[in-house]
Amino acid sequence: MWKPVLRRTATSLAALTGVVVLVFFMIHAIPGDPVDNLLGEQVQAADKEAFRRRLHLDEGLGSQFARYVGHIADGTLGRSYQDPSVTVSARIGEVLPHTLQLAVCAMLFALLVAIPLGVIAALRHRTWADTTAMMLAVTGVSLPAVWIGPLLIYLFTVKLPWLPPPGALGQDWRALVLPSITLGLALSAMLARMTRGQLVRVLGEDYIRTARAKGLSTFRVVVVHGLRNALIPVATVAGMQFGALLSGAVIVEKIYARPGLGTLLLRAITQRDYPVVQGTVLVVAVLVVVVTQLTDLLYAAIDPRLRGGART
Amino acid sequence: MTLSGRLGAWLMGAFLFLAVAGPALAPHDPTRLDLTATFAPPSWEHPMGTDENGADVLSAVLTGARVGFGISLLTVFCGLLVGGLLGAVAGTFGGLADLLLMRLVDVVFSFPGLLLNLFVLSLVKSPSVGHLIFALVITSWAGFARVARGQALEIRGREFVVAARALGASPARILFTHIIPNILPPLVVQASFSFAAYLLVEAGLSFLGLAPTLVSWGQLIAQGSRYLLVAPHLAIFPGLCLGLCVLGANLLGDHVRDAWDRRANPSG
Repeated sequence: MWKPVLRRTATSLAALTGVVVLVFFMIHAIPGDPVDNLLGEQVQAADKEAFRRRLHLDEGLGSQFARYVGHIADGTLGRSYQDPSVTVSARIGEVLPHTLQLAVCAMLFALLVAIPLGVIAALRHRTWADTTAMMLAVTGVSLPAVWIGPLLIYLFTVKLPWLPPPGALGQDWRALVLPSITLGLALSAMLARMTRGQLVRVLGEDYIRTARAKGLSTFRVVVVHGLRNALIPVATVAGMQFGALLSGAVIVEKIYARPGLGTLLLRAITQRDYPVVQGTVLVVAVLVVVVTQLTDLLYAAIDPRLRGGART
Repeated sequence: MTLSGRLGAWLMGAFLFLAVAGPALAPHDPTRLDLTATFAPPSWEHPMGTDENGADVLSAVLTGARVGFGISLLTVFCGLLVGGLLGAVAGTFGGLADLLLMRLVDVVFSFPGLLLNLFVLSLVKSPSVGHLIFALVITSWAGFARVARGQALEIRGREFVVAARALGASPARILFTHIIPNILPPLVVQASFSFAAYLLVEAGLSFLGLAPTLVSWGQLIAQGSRYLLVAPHLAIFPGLCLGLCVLGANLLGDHVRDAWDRRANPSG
């Protein structure tokens, strides 16, 4: 079982190397001078020169790349142009927990909605209940977060003041409800479709017929025998969609005025703070690769059939 | 045709029509300001109300129809062309090019899509439509490449391809007359879903203020959501149009996929 694991790890490492190189060269392929972008064009040439030297932008591409890789290796990810006293990794460390909290809650919401919806649709396959559930799902995938977010705010903090308005943070768990729904909605719809498809497939298999023939209760057949197998691919897809949650978080954090990676990234983009932009993009890409890799390994660990297949 | 497939086709047809004819149908000039009638709720005169400057929202929605639609369509088309071709070549001929291409696809997939779009857009000072489409194509081609490669890998082992090769057909002939026509249907399905997805991405980027300033539905939602408390209709109507358009593309994609699956495995 180790060979495919090593293979996957090698592929992931290759992808990460690609990410590191791509992020560096894209920033350096920009037409125009980052110093002009930062200081504006009216600044004196001597000041520009000094600034450039301070940011090491006067060095060759090779030595800049070496410096950049060095910053990745020592874990600082460089220093912010705006405030050189803080390392980029410290800035990211401050806000990362907020984004992870949001992503995890959105994932939980998605699973809590998707699994029951998918199970109902599968058990009532090709009836009105199935059609309704699947129409709900395709609608959920189609609703823009930029629209549903403000609408939820309007409904549940203004019209019906049940939840705290955006910007509220701290210990209040209720502040997480609307952002999690906004972020998790599309994923929940996607997973519901997946759950339905998988469960319909599994319920048609021989061992389910055997379980029914043994006289087991429908609940036992569906949940213990059916759902357990049907959910393995669903869990995998959920893991693979982690990246989509992180990019969705950029929008959701903006809608709800929450601190997080997205807010940090957007501010860095408007301030042309390239080390922060670079660092944030890099950290997110690393997170995605790691979660995908873990999902893959988990998949092999849960499903013995795959392990058997992988060994040959 | 199933009911949902028909609904999807109707919706897409309607929005295609709006994208082409939208500006001509607009009852008012969307840039004409009327400061005596700001934030007017929906009425017969202004079916979607008026905005903070008293401009007609319906006219803005009709004028903006082609913007998001066009951007998304171009993104998908360029992605299909680049990714489809590269993927087909990689899958048909294999070798080092295949290996490198697939690693590049892995790299693109390591970024959450929107983040890579954002990153590319952030590199230019004031992005134009060209920049926006370029930033979107950077992510859109990879999905097509993956699908095309997988399909080509499967097709190249089929008898008719082997026979063509045995008859001495050139690699280009095999690629263009035997492989590509046979991998098109799954690519069309991918294009349909991709179109829906990039409509949402365009709206997201507009909302974040990173897309060029144009009257698109995304921009209208972004502007409208600032006045949510006084005039929720400003955000509701453009959002509804966007949602319906995305829904149409998704339903149509589902339908084409199911139809293709049935043809590919008649027993299933």
